[in-house]
Amino acid sequence: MSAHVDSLIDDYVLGLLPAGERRAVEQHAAHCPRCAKLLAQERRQEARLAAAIRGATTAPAGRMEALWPNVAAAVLPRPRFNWWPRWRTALATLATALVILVGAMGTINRFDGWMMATYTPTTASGSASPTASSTPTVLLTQDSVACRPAPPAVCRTPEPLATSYSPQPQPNPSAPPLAGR
Amino acid sequence: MSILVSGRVYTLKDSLDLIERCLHGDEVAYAALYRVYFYDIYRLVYGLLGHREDTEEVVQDSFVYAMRNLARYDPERASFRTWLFTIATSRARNKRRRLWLPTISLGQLLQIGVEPAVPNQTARPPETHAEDSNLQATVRKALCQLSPKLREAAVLRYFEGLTYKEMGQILNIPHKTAESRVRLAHKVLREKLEVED
Repeated sequence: MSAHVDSLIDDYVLGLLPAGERRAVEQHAAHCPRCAKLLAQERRQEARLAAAIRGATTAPAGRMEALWPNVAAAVLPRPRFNWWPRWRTALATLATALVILVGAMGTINRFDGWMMATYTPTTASGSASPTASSTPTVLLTQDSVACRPAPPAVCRTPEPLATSYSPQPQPNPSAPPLAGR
Repeated sequence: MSILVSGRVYTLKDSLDLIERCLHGDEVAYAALYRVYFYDIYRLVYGLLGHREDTEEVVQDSFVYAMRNLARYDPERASFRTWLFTIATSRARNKRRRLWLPTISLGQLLQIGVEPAVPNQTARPPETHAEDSNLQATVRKALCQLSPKLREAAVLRYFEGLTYKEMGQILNIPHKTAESRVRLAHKVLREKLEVED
C-alpha cells in the first residue's frame, strides 16, 4: 500500500489536483479505510459548506420580478408609435405652411389698402409765412415716406427707330473724278 | 438552470440564441436572459457584498450594463455567464470601494510613518435573516470576515461548473492565483466554522 494521502485530500476536494494525482488519491482511498474515511468526511464538509453558502446568498422570493421593471426601463427599446406615420407629419407641415403663407399675404394686402386710403399730403403750418413760398410744402413723415406708394411712372413714348438704314454716301476712291468740278 | 418565459423553457445553452434575439430588439428575449441569470448574479453579488440593498443595486446595474453592451460580448473569449460574472464582480468591487472610503479618517491618512488602520472590510455589518439556518448565519458571518480577495474566490468557488480558468478570467488573475486563493479561503472558512460549531 502506498503512503497516506492526507496532505492531498483538501486539494482533491477543491478540484486542484492534476489528473494523475487525482487518480492516485482515488486508487489509494480504494484500499485504505483511513484515507477513505478522511476523504468522505472532507467531501461532506465541502458539500455542507457549499450548500450553506448557496443558501445564505439566495435571492428572496419575488425580488427577481420586483427588480425587472427597473432593468427593462433602462434597457428595452422605447416603443415606436406608428399611428402617425411620416407622410401625415409632412402633410400637416405643408398645410400649416400654406395657412401661414395665405394669412401673411392677406395681411400685407390689407395693410397696403389701408395705406393707400389714409395717405394724404400734409401742408406745413406754423411760423413760416404762407407767402414765403408760392408752392405748398408737403410734410412727409418718415413713416409716410417709407410707406408711400411709388409715384406713377412717367411713360415717355420712345422715339420710333429708323426702320431702314441709309448711310451717308462716302466718296469712292476708285471712282473716277467727276468731271467739271 | 431552466426558466419558463412566455410558454417556452430557456436554459443556459440558449444564451447565444437569446443574445441574438436581444440584438434584434426582442423584448421577450431580454426578459428570458434576465430570468435565466438573475439568481446566479444575485448570489454572486450578495456573497461579495453581504447586504441586500447594495446587492440589488449592483445586480440591476450589472444587467443594465450587460444588456446595453450585448454587441460587445464575444462568445469565443468566454461563456456568457463568465462575461456576466466579470461585469457583476467588477461592479461589486466598485460598490465595496465606495462603501469603504468614508471609513478611513483624514487623521489616519495624514499620520506620517503610520500605516492607516485597515478599514472594516464591510462598511455594513452582515445581515441576519429570520429564515436563515444556524449554519447559513454562521457562513454569512464567516464570509464577511474574509478579505475581499478571498471572499471573491470563495463565492465563485461554490458556483457549480465554474473552472479555475474561468475564475481567473472573472477576477482578472492567473488561474494559479485563483487556485491558491480558493485554497486559502477554504482553509480560513473551515477554521471559522469549526470555531463557531
